[in-house]
Amino acid sequence: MDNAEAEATSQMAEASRWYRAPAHDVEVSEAVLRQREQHLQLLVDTLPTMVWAAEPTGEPSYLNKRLIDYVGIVLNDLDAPDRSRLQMAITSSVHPDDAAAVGQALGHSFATGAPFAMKYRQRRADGVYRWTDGRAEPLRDASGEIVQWYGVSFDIDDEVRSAEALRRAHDKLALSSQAAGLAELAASIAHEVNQPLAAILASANALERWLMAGNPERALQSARSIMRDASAAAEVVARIRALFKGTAAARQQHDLNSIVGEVAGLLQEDLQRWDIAVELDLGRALPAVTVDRVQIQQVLVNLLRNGIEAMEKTPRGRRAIGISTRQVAGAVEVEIRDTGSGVDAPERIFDPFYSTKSDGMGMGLAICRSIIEAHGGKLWTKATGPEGTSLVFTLPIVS
Amino acid sequence: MTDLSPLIAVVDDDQRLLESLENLLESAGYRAITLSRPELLFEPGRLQSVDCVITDISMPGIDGFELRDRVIAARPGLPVILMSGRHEIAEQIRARTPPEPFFRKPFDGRALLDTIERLIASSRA
Repeated sequence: MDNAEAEATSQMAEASRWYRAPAHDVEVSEAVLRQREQHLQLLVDTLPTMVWAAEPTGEPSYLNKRLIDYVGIVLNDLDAPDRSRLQMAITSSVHPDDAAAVGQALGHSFATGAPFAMKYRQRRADGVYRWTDGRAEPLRDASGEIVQWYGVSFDIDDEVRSAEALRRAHDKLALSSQAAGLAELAASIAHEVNQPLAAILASANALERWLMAGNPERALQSARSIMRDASAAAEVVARIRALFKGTAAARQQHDLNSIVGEVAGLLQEDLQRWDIAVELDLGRALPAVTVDRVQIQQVLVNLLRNGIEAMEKTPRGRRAIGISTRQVAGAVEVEIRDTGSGVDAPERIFDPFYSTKSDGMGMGLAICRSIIEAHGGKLWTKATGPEGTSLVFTLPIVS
Repeated sequence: MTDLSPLIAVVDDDQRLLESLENLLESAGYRAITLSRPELLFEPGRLQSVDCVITDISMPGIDGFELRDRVIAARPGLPVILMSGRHEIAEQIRARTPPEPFFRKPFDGRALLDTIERLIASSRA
């Protein structure tokens, strides 16, 4: 008997073990039975998946052709004097890192009758380990006793790898967008500092010229400009430092309405220049919030400027900004509405890379959000219909 | 200063910078008008009176590039000098050919004055 013939005979024998013929079919002729077995054998081997069967104890009793071809192991290969077929099957076809877990899961299923389902690396005939999705369920007789286990396994390696590649690409993208955010932030800071420095240098140059021209009044005036602008530059640096430090030390109890009032006053000139009507709706007797006053001012200035800029294309008669404050559960809520062009991507506007604005503030909504979050609050956009944007933030009430 | 000295328009949305550049230009004998919004440059008669425009690039509404294009369309040959405090814009502009007059803030006042003088002289030639 050559090898192929031996295998065929063995497979035939296994097939009869795989297919438990009902015992009452005794009158069916052996020829018919054989034909039926061959038919089933063909069916099982043609199924586009790997199939196996095992005794109720878990001992493998059948492997279909696809499985044999895939792992390069026939049932006889699993026979060893000192170990079970199951142990042999696991050690010879499962990745060493996964073998213990697979053995444990299968053991659990065979002991309890629970279905087996697991993804693990299986050794292909060429020695390459590939991700496999293995499943097995028991066949029970009328009394509920397990007669046989049937299992299938699918090669899912390509899917696993493409999912992994996708995740890796996603991680890389997230990282680079974070870096882009920082680069954008750094650019904004550089711009903020470069503005007063440019003014200082120009004034210093003018000072030199006025001195040489014998004009002490203009020289003095230039010197004063330099001092003023140098202080402004120092302020920018202090402000940036405060932004990143975010110390709780600077936080004190404040009335949010008074901060809103200050900021509205601060921007009055801008609001008038752009013919923007301001509607204040401040909640009465709001509880105090513990905040860094300067930081919350910065947030309000940014949000208001954002609203002002959003209304650039709004007809002059229809420009309005509404600022309202109210108490909500455990927090004070501030809402800033504009009648501008709205935003296409409400969440993206908090992305530092997205909020590239051409004005001098340049600090972006991303920083506003981090300031609010550092205070234990939240900042988000609210849909207000086709026109206008509503930005809302909360600050927790002092308990 | 006489009325014959060249008139320079400075456009920037930063008031401190407008003041300091006006001071610098005056110290060099120029006359200066400072404009905090780009559209002011296109008010009737204004563009006809100036000899050179210095503009910031990053401004809300009309940015410096658009302003330069509109100035050149209205008065071909009028010198326009761009400036910006943004490094990334500076890199972008420096990569261009032919090079255009540009200063990254902060800049040396003397270099700006030299450029103004040279550009006005060649625009009049």
